[in-house]
Amino acid sequence: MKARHLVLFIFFWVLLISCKTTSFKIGNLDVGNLVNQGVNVFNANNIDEEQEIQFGENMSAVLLGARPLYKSEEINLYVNQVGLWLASNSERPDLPWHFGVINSSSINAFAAPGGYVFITSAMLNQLTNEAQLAAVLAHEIIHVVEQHHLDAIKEGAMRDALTESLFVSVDAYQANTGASSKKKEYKAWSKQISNAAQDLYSKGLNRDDELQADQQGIRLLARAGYDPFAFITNLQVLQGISADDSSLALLYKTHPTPEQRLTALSHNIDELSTISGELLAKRFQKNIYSL
Amino acid sequence: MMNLNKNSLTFVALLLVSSMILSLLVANKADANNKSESSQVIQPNKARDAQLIKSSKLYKKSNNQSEVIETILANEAVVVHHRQRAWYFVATEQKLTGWLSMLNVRFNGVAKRTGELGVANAFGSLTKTLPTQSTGIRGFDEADLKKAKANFKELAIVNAFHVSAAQVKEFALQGQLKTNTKIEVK
Repeated sequence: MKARHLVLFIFFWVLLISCKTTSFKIGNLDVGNLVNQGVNVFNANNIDEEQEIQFGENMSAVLLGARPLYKSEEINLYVNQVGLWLASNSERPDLPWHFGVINSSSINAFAAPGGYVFITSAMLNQLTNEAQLAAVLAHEIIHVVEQHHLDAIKEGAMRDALTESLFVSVDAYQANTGASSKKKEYKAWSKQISNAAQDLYSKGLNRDDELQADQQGIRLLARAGYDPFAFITNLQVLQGISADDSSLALLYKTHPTPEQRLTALSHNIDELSTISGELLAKRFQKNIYSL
Repeated sequence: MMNLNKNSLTFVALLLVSSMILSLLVANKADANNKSESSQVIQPNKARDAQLIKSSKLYKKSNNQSEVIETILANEAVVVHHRQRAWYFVATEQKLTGWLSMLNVRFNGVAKRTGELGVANAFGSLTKTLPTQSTGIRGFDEADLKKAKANFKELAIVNAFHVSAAQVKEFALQGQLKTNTKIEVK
């Protein structure tokens, strides 16, 4: 267990113990009372896969609330095929992976816990082959595999423990509010998660997580049989777009610059230099531009 | 009667032209406000102007055991023609051609993309974008995310995209994609 996780674990343990003896409240929830009743209250450091997927669903819904999906089932299914092949080569092949194209002129891609990955249509428009698409998805898949978003939420929860009700389960919420229908459950849950999701997607992950997603993403790309240097091409293409282009504003705000990412990657890819993978430009063009 | 019809027709024509101009102006204003733009397709595998970020050897073939043609100095301009693994085939200002490590090359920045604010954006279909992409497409930024409300309808669509494990295997097979077991991701 990492030291950071140990500290978080102790913090939440102490928090829960103290709830039993005090009338501790988070938002409108009397957590102390719930714990006394034996209601399950999430430990931020012990989120199971089911809960992780639930977080992901709600975070994805927020993202899709900002912009909807690109309305082409064929293109979305093609992106799913590429993503699922990559995911099957990742360290968490059994997650219920879902991929989608968000209809937006912002050049970006996103991930959410539990196996959700999104690429914007504008990002798709910058690419010329399947290996480049796979490179974008591979970076996001690593964020999911390494649980970067969950880590960020946990750290955020620790900072804002007294105001966030993120880690109180739906059951706990229902028990406390009398909510019973699925709709109410979702509404309550999404309200709690929305703020965290909005905050996370606006601020982005930390720099080390982004660089790790690059380092491992290029390797995942090569492992899945694609040309790993398509990853470098993508960064060079991004670097070649005018920095004041508004379509890149959020990407630049939430990621290290392409130049920083290229520099960091260049130190760790020697062993990939002899690998020849597939580019699949024709298949990409056929699936993206010929429909 | 004829005069009336002629006047009416002129009036209707003027009205149509005015409304077209107005709608173009409104569309452009909305585009500017919404950061709407049609994407210019950048094709890195086509010839592109670039420069070196550090002095680099120009090789005859795409490997560093090959004959060195020349050392190209940092900041020198090159034109990138195509790529092979981690190598770019380039032409230098001295009309030399050969292979440079792609890691030492940076593409020159392209100007702010066409159509982002101008009238051209109203004719987005003239630029190469995704086939059904509309000109009303918007970007999103921090402010959009802050006011976003969860859209479970769209999430249900994402969850409904289904590709079976067998289909994924077949997809990989068709693309001649094979797992390279020698490469560990971590």
